[in-house]
Amino acid sequence: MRRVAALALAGALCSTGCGRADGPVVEEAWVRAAPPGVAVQAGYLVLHNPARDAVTVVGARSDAFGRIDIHESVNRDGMRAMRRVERLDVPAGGRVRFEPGGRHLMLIGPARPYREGERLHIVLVFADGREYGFDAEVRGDAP
Amino acid sequence: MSPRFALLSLVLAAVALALGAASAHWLRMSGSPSGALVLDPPRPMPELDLLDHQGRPFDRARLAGRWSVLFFGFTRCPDICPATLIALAGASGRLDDLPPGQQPQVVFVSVDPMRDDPGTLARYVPHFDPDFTGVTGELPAVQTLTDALGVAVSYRRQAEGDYSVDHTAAVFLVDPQARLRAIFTAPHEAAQLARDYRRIVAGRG
Repeated sequence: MRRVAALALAGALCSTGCGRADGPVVEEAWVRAAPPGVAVQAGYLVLHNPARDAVTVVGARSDAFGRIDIHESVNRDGMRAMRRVERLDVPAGGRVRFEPGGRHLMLIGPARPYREGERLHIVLVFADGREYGFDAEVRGDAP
Repeated sequence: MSPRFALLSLVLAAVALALGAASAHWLRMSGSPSGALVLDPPRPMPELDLLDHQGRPFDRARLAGRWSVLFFGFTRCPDICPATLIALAGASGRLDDLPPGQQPQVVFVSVDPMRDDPGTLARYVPHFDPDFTGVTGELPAVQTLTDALGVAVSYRRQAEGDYSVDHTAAVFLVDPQARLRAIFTAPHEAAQLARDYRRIVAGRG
């Protein structure tokens, strides 16, 4: 029974993406559900880099969207503004959070409307040419 | 940056600065509701010439006779705007027990009226709550409202002819006499918004 529980736990932990032991790993990925016809959606995740070297994200892509930028919501002159992030460093052993009100994937031009519960495949591109694919669940609000 | 955008940004930044300075005099920090600035005395709203998401006129009379909660954003804002609309929907749900005359109408005003026409808002705003109202109009008409409330708006050019809109993320409470009564400062959370709203509407603000 204990072994079954341990296996189930391992399965649950891996359900959002288990990468190579030495490479970056994406966890808790989700895409904010949006009404049909909306031009831009936001994606959120936690990017973990268990390796001994820093990694740098330089882009992202998905067949589900026309283009993906990395953006950050910031305060500028007393207003909320969005700033594009060209390169995102994740230090060795570090975690970078993409979360509402902060850093997010700017998912531009959905190929079609997505329903809550759908899983969308997204690929992160790193400066060294590596790519990492993961699935993000479409949700109404943060998990 | 095209001359049009440069001019627009400059004008709006100047307006925002002037209003910000003026607002500092009008506002006093209220003791009890955290996250809310209560105006004393409340500030009358100007006449408005806007459209709701069903294409009907949205004038000053639409703000009279009930409490209104106003938030400014745009449909191409994927992070802050949906999060705030979800918080407002949550707050609205927590106020269901109030008498109908004290329940707020929630209004989402587009600060990107060039791209957000009534049809766009009709597909967007009710997604968060079918009772919410989307409002748009000609840019100067939207500016009449943002100027009156001290909402800062700045159009920022991006790659490939695209632009983004920086904007105040505060939520504004207008009383049944169509006067600005309080400003809820960001970040917004449903339970806090509902608590602050109750206090102010009950006259304990």
